[in-house]
Amino acid sequence: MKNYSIINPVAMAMLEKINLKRQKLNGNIFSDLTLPFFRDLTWHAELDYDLSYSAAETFNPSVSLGSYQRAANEVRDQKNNSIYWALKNYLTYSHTFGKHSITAMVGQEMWASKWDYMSVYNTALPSNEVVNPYLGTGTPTIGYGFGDSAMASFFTRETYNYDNRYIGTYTFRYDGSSNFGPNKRWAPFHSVAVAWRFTNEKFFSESARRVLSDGKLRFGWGQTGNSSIGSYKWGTSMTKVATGLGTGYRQANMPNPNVMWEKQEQFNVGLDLNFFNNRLGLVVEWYNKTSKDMLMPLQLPTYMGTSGNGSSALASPWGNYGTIRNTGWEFTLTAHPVETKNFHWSTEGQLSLNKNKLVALAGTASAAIVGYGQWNDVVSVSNVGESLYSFYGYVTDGIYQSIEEVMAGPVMENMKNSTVDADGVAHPSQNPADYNQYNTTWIGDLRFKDLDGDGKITEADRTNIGSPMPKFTFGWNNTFTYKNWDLTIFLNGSYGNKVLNYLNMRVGNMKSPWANQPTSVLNRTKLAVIDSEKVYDGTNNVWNWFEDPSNVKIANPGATLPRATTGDPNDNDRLSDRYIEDGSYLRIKNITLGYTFPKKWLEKVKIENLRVQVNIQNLLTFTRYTGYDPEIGASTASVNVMGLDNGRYPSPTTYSFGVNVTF
Amino acid sequence: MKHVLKYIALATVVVAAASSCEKFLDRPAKDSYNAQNFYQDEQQCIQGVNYLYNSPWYDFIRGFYRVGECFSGNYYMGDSPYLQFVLNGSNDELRDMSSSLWAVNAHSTTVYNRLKEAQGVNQATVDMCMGEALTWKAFAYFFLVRSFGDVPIIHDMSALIGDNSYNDVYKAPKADVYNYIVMLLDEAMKLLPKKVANKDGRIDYYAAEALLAKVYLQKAGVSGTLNQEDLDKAAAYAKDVIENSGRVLMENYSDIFRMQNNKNIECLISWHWDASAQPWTAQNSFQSDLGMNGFDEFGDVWGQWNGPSIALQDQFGVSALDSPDSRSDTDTRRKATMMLAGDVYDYFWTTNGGFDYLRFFYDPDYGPSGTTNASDGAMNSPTGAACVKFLYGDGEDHKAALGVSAGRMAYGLSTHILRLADIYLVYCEAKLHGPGSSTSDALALQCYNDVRNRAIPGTYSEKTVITFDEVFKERNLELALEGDRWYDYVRVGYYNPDYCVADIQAQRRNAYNGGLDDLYFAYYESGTWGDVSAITYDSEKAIPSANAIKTYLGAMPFPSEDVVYNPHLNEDAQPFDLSTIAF
Repeated sequence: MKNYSIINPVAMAMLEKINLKRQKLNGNIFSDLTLPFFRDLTWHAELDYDLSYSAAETFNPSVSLGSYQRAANEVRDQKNNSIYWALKNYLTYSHTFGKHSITAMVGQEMWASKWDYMSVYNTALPSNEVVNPYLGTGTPTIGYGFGDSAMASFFTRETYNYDNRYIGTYTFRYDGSSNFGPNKRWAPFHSVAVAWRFTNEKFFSESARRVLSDGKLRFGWGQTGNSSIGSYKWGTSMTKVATGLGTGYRQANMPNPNVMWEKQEQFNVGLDLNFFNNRLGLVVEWYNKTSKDMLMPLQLPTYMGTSGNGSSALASPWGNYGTIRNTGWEFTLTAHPVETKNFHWSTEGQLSLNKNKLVALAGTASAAIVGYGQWNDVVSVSNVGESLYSFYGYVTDGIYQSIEEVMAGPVMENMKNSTVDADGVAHPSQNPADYNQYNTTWIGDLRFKDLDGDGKITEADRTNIGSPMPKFTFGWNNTFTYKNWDLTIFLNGSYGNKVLNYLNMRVGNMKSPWANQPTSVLNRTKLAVIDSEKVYDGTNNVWNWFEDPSNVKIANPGATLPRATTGDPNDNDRLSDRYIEDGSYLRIKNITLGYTFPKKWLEKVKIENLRVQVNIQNLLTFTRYTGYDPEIGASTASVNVMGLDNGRYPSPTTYSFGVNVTF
Repeated sequence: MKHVLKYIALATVVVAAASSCEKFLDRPAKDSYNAQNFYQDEQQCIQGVNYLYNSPWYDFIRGFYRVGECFSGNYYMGDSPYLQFVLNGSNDELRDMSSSLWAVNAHSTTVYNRLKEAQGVNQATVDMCMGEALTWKAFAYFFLVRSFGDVPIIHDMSALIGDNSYNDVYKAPKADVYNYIVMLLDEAMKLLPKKVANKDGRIDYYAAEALLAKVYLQKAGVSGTLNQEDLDKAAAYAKDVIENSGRVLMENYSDIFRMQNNKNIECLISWHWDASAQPWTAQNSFQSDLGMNGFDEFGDVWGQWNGPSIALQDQFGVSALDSPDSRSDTDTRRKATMMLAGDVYDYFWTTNGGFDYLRFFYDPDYGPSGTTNASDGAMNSPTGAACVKFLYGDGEDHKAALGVSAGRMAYGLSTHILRLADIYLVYCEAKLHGPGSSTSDALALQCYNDVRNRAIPGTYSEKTVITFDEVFKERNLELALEGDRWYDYVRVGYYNPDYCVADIQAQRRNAYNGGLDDLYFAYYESGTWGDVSAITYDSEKAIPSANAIKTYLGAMPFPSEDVVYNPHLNEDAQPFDLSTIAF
């Protein structure tokens, strides 16, 4: 038998069965009771519930597809149950006397949720027809677990309004969560908001009101809490581990009995203005949002044993380890520039500027928040005092054009092309025979910048190579109507953010002749012979021109991509600014053109309303980004990572046509 | 109806208010033990240490093999940076290896600290478990220092977290790390029971002592010259293990690596995996990386493009180009280490009457556990050889040996990482004094001859004097593809790097330029061995430079990520005050 076949992926996808059945029952009962003897007081009582049940089955049948086979079929059945209920009670008192109106509310709220699951796995069922793990002849495994969590709160809110001119609100909550240990369960949260509608003041004349029809100044300060870290981080469970010596148990995490509520404090000032009878509106808002005692796992170096595979490492303790501040401005302008009998144009523009900063972090001076790429490769580092999530890598400095340039250094971290002087310092070897295309830095490789000036390229030469945070983002929506036609165009975009083209780093590294590469590698640096007549006899293991540094030149000196090399001794594909791109874009997010048929035509055919419309989403994107889509946002795979493009599914351009009929 | 609902609501409120808030919110995880209510009896203490024999080590599997066998030239792995000495600190396997070894350190420390607090449990059991934890900690550090050179000494993570100094530690010099390992093992030996002829697979006094002997031998040259005192200690500890542990060499070499002998009389320290993969990392996954595609029926083997190197074939004096009919092949370890054309294994594919290397590729009706052939129909190993050690066979072999089925990337074959034959050769080397020396020490001769007598039964003529070169080579023949060879070079590299450079540069580390499959297929079909003169060795790829070899002998690049947190890692090591270590 001499054959070779590749598994048909369609066949594989069709053969394997993944079923998920979900059942859900939810609802609520409430009553609002106005007490007969005290009309201003109402009592609201409410019970919410949510019961859900799911059953999942995966079945991989035994198959024989050419040279691929799975002799034993596999089945896994899993059943999940969960029950959630919440109870709310609050009393509201409201009263108006003269120009004063007040409300006061006091209440209580609690919820609890319980879950359990059960899964059974078995292999080697007698046939692919009857799928029941009970029939399997392999070694069955059982999974079973349960848990619960709960929260309880007390709260009150008071509002005061004088003549729609002075408005004030005070809120207080006292929250308790089962996610925290006995001594840190409860935390208080306050907030205050006041507003002044100055256009209602007497000094504001009628004529002034014709220009500025409505004006309000707002001011707010408030605290909110965050407890979402999952249950029992304050203690540590023992996880069962099967071993060759019998059952084992391991401690899954380092506990922190003092983990507590994260507090977010926000301070904001806003100004709402409406001009010319609401023809023109402007909202300006400034905010300063500080997250204190931020909940996160302690950022520890590998030697503490907390890195790598989650099912074998010792998880780092969760706690309140950082302070982050976001400050920013938001501007919203709305206008109706044209309003005639047949033609209307309304427009709304939004501009947001946000800056964030890591204010403090527990631990030592060099503490940092680190974000990882696909596995445990560091892609972002946030140092105290700096903006968050900046990419962290090497800075490139062109391509080595000749062996003389290579010999001018710097030396690669592992010193493959170095000699060590008597003083113990590594220098690049000045003997061309010490260089070769397989094991050392070579003509056509990237030159990296030696930022710390020690003559070597080491980890210390990594630096901040760009921020995924935009300088500003914007949106602009326009609606035009002409008689029965309407047209909506929405544009949005972002400016000044960098994207890490991680996909390109993984597939465009030119390290394997067997793997697909993006076409951009066609513009790589290509090496060419200088003197094709030169004869080689194998001295110094040099048999060909491409092994002789003095006979190699670059065929396309302007190229910015390095040479292709399978071993990549220079580590050309390390994370460097080579993969950082400008992620600014302007996108025509949405265009809708509609036509509503005149009523009088429709009456004859007994149709109440008929509208046809064409809609295009993501029609055009203006960007210099070379990947699929610059709109990336936060990583779904890793916390502390933004703007990393690991083959994120791009926003599709969608054309749709719709007819709306109402009879 | 409206009123009824109101009363229901009212009633619930009353019930809820009656129960206390604190009780309502107190919800620790209840579906498993927690650290507070565990370690309460002997069984729980033992269960609490069992996982140090497998799970935390799992992510080390790939680095273990690449460092131990690719660097050393025993295993051909295409363009692997380990084979070509172009490894960087960002390499995935290297990072996984580092994470895994540090996780072992953290887990061993945690278990040790918990056990110290165990109350009301039989002290001998607690001591035994603490001793096992310390030995694993020592072994993790032994891998770390031999691979990365200077590394930080993390005796207790909780202390560093407690005083916020975890980013302030410096690397400790290799010599201090070795001394720390010695302290760990000394303490472990105080706690561990002396089990004579131990076969239960657990670490005992002699296992820790054997590791200590190997550590002393390894550290003997760390200063740049061989320290006779260390060599003497290595010899003394090895001698005690050889004479008093009751361990003996197994009669048949290949039996050491069979699942039936997961716990055997020759082994001192082993990883004991479980095939259930509960959780993932509990299981052995070596075969998937090392075996030929289609070797078992789980569709989980992909190692056919790699194989035992030509250099290793040269060490055994065999060649993939030789006809099996005329191959001079006296050393039984060769077949137990690598497959060559013509080999048949009675211990693999037992329900198929054994595993036939060439038939595996060319007979369409020949498959694992009696299923159809799932090989690629061609011999793809660029060196002509295939790995044998660390392979378990097919599903039926697994069931027959362990009573449970194997799974995808999940099997229960134990991995022996320290065995008596190793200690025999440690003793021999300790009695020598580096390259160029020889010895006639009676026990050394006996050890050396015992190892060779087993390997070459009947025909081996015993030596009366042995040289360093012979012992150094014998270590490779005996322990090849067991993840240890590179550390032999590291050890000698401390005091005589030129010896290692010469040895490595002389290796044939590259592959053949193709043509083997046609040769083997013709032989399988017709029984005649074709002309091999057209099959050439790839001599174009550069021989690694002396600089590169010496660089990696000194230390592999320390995975670079942590410099972000701790800039001291980029600085020189600082002497570590070992008097601060307390147990």
